[in-house]
Amino acid sequence: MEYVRLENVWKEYASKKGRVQVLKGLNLSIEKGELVVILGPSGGGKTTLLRIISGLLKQDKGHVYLRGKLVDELPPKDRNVAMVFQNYAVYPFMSVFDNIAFPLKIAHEPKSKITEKVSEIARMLRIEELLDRKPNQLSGGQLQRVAIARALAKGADIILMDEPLANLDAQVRVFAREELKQLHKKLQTTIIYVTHDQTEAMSLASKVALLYDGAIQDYGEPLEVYNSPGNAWVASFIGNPPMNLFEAEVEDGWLVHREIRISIPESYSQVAKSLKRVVVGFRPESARLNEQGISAKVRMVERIGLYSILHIETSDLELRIITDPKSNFERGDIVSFSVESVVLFDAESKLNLLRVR
Amino acid sequence: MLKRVISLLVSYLVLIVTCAFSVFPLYYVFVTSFSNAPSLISLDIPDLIPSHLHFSAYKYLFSSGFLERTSFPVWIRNSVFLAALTALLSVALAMTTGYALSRLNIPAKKTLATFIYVLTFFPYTVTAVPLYLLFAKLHLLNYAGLILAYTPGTSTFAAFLAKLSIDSIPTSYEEAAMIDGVSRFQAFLRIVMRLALPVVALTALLGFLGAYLDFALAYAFILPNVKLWTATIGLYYLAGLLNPASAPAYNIFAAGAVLMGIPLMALFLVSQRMMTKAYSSLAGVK
Repeated sequence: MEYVRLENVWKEYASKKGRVQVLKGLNLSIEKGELVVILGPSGGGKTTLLRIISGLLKQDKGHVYLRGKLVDELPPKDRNVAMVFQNYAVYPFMSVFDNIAFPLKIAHEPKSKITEKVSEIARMLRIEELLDRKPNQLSGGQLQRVAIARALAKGADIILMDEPLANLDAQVRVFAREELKQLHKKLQTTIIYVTHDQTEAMSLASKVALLYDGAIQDYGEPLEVYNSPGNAWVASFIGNPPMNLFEAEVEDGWLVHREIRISIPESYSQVAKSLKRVVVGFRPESARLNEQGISAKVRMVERIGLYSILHIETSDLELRIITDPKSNFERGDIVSFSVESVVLFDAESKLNLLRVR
Repeated sequence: MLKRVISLLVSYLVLIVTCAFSVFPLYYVFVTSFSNAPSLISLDIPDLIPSHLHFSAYKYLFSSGFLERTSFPVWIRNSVFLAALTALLSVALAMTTGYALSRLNIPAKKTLATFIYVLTFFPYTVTAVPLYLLFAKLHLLNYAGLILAYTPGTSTFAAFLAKLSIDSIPTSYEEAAMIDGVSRFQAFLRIVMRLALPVVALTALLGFLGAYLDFALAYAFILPNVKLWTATIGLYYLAGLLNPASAPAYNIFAAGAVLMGIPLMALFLVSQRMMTKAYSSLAGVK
């Protein structure tokens, strides 16, 4: 069932340099119980999108539907969504208990019910012993749990999260991510989660939506987006290092760019037949070093530990391929490699050829 | 070691001298209030440590039935009432204005903020005469008029302070409250006002002080109506300062000043506690 739907949403901001179009006809539809991560570069309108869903901000054009109902005219308090902010927004003058109880107190729930609910949620998030404390006595990770607890206390079945883990240090973040995932599994609430961190997006999401240039560029399961990006921008954004992209001619069954020759995979043979030029993409990890492949010169070696990234130059192109960390290539070495799998994009529209209909 | 002692000595010396300068007038007023000599000149240096406390000035102030059966305590009550209402109105005006200037998308916001800032440069007592003429036409030469005249004296400056203070509060606090189920106005009342409590307390204090200690406007507006007199007018009258022909009784003036200071003291203690409490709860919040 379609639970959250954004239909042709436009939003413009006035800034000193003039008007900036942040969202340009964005469409997105989210099923009930999903954890959708909205991923995109900073300043791309991710937070704007969340604020439009919550009602804190009104879109210039377009519609927002929650639970199948049009909510354009509803103020935030009547939309029955909860939100976790990047800075947690835990009220500094209230105890942890009062913070979590805040939405319940506003709803005029009876006192006994409030106490019961708050302690139930606190137990779930393991912050029972913190209930009497003031926020300035808590660590970042604890504050973040209090913020999530407050969002849960409201009992809303749509929870919006605006980079809730961004202010945590790296180790705590990994734990918090795992916990959040478990929590979602347990509660099955619909969560819309905004981040600029790919790893977070890939590991958390049941579906990931890529926001760039005011529109959703790709939307699907994380691995599907990773393996078969919807367009060339997505390919260049997702993955670290990202996909190698270059233009090539189509010559009966081969993709040719100067000395590079890669055979067209079967899945693309039908669609590529009628085209002259395409954009070829391959993941750095789908290149294999061997004796008789494409030859290239090593420009730089990045040793990450788990693997090494070779920056190589061939046929005017700078490409990145991943190799065994034990390999001891140096700058200036000549290597040869072959490509095991490729994704093809239309030369004009930059769309994935398999997804174009 | 010696250097440390000298620097300590010097700093204590400076502190003691400045302290003496600021405490002495207060002490002088206090001592005068317990003397029965009405003239300042009759007070000699040995009198600074009084050998006997006279309560005649206080007795005189507490005796009722001067003019139209009013008394000094009634005038103090009037002053407190006026000052409290002024403080309330100042807080309401300053905070809503500050919120609007900080958060809402209103036209000509920057110009308005600058205008408010510039307004604070003018002493509001210069407006006494034009205000008197204007308010006489509008039948506002009463408490309502006085409060209307007092409020801008504090609230223009406080609005600017409130804007700066609200600017520094992350919007996510009130947004979280709005999503949790309150309206924007309620979020303002429950969250923003609470987070800006130091400014609220300061505004209330300044508003109260301005109205409580005012003489010029009250004198211009309500002199004919003795029942409405404020403590300052009453005190001037009782100390004989309203009538240039009579000799001023400074011991009574001093006793009245001490009595007027009691509500101020109480207010100051409360607002100071509010301010420190607010600051301590905000500490460590990013």
